[in-house]
Amino acid sequence: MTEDTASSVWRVPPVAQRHMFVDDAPMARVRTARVNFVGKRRPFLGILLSGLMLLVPTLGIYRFWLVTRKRHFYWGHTDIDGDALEYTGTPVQLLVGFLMAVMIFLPIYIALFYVTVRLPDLSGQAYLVLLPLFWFFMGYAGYRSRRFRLSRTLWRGVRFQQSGNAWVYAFKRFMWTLATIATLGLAYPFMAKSLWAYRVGNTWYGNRRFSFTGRVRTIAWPFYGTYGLVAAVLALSAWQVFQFDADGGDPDSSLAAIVWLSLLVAIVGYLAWIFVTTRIDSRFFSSIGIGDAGLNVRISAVAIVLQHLTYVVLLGIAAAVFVVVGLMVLGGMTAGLEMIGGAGTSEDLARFMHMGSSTFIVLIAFYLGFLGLWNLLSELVLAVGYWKIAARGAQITNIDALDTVRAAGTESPLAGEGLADALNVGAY
Amino acid sequence: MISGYFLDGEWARSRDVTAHLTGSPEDGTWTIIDKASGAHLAHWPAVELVRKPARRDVMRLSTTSAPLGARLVLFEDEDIAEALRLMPALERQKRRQRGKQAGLLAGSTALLAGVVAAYVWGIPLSAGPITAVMPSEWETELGRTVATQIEQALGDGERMPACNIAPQAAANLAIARFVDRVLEGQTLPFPVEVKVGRSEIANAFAIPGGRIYYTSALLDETENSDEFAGVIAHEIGHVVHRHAMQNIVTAAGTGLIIGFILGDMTGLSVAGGLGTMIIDAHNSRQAETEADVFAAEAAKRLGYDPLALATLLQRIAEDDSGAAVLALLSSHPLTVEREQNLKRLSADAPVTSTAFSDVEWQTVKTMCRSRNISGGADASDSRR
Repeated sequence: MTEDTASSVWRVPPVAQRHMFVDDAPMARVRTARVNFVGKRRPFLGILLSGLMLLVPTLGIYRFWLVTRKRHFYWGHTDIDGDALEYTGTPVQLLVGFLMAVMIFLPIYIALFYVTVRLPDLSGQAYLVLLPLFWFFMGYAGYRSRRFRLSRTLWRGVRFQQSGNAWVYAFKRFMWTLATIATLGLAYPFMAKSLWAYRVGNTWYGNRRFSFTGRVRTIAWPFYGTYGLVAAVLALSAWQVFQFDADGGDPDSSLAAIVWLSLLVAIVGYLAWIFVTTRIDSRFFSSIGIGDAGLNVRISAVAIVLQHLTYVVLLGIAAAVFVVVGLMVLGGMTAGLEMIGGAGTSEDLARFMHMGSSTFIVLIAFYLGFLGLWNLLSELVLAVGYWKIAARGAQITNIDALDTVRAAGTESPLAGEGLADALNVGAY
Repeated sequence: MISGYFLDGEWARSRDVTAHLTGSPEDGTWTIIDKASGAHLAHWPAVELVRKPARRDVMRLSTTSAPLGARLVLFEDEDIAEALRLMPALERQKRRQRGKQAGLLAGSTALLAGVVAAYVWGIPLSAGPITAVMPSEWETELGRTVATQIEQALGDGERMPACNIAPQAAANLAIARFVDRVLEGQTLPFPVEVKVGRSEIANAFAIPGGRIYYTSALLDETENSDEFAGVIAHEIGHVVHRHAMQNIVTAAGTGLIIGFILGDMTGLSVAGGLGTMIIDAHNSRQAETEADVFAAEAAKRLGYDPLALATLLQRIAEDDSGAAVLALLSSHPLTVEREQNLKRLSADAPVTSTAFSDVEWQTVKTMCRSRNISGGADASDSRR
């Protein structure tokens, strides 16, 4: 394990490091490198805060610059065997991509407007058509966006690439979603395997293609085992409630039983979901090969649950602070009314709040504050958290096999990333 | 001499190197030499040096003409300090980059600000013309669908029964006469129909296609004919300005603008929904003002009390009888601004008469008390 710990100390010159251990242990032919994430949350908070401040005067346009800065942070602090990733995309590429996506959305908007006005009876159905369409496009956009990011990621001076067809991927994802819904989730491992295989099999590092050895059976046990457990808990709870009703228990305690059992099912379901997703991620990431080199990833479910708990607690504190500040602002406004001669009663305040423009400004301020706080916490706790956990749990076996990779490919076009942005497809 | 590692942009392998400057920092050349073999790996002109994004304690250097991924990476503090001292091009490039990015950011912000400004000020100006271009049959047909939905909502699942379906009934004739007087000199693409219907929700509103609803619960709260007339004239104002249709046009525009600002074009996110709601509420306030102006002018012209509308809203706002009246207030909030506006509009307007004669008003006021009700809403279509 000495080579692992040595390479995780990123300050040690990477090449010297390699020589060092080759000299020390000439027998060791296969070297495993650890991935490390060395970013700290405090400087990242600085980036996010300054970014949020700039979002207001720029009417949101700054988000393209903020996303780029965030990616520089994530990429630049992710160290693989002594060299960090480098993100080469620019804010203007994101801006142009978004404008292209708007052009795609305009016809949908106009069509929707026409339906609202001319066929109001159909407008409900129009949304029923639109939602699956959005789901389809999210798959398309997600794939294109992945290509955008990969082709703008350098490691050791060589870029990643993605081949394959985004339409094919979107179609597969859409059909598998239907199958998963139809089988009450039982088809999910097949969907996961199919989509991972397509994504990974079409990923390249320079001129070397990634390979994927994951099978459905790789994840079948954790998935179907957990599925059975959740189904059993659900069935037992339902049976309990049914028994209770059949015994003629009084309705109040029957309601209480339903509430408690629902809570139980929710908690079991949540834990099961975390367990299953971390297992799938770990096992499928570990099924990735790059020529003779390979990936080995372990994502801890406990760590993820702890992140989520932190997030919920912080969100609660933030919401409380938000409410207190809000009440203070209201109090201040009532005091202001007193000064201008009002009685300072809540009725006065209510009337004041009805005063058009002041209400409007207060509402917008609250709205933006809430939105900013929410985004800040999600990014700081969840996004950084997951990246950190995934990166620190990752190793690359036989990394020296990558020395013979040659640079290839160019930066991908912009439209896909913009579409992902427009469709709110969450990604780093 | 600077130490670091070098990536040639061709092979995925790093080599420990030293970099040496020959000539002046301004226009000399940096030679990158492999530590192990002593081979010259690259010659980089000092003027072409650029700094690539990296974390704070690492410096990634390249040049404008080197292969895309070629990097000289420095990770020791003293090497980075030395590079900053010996590579004046980096500072110039940083300033140029900052200026360029700031310019792009400012430019695109100005552009978006232009679009938003055009929207905020343009919508009141352009929603009218856009609505005017749309065929009036569209609005009439849309109105028919909206009527069905609204009447079902008000009538508790079944269609709201009209208080008096006979078009020739005294109350309906009185209302129709009043509508005619208010509309004198106006040209409208469709007739204005007032329907007084039985509902427990106190409200009055206009829907696309010229229909105006006035509920029995609101009629119970209405104390005199001027209050009734004030509300009806206000709603006629909405019809004359075609606000119902404009709202649809405006809402579509708001969705687009919010999508632009938040970057979520689906409008499905919570943030998008909230933002749209706030802006639409702001827009509807402007529509209320326009309808108030219309109502006040009608009152002045016909000589009845223009302030009666405000009196009614005021009384309902103070009456704490619960949720039944909330619908009216939420669609017609009596803000301080609005009240003052109404007062200003009705200044020096002598009240010379009432909107309805006493006899007329009595028939209207009591029209929902008789048993003579009907479940069919379409009966009112023949009226006006």
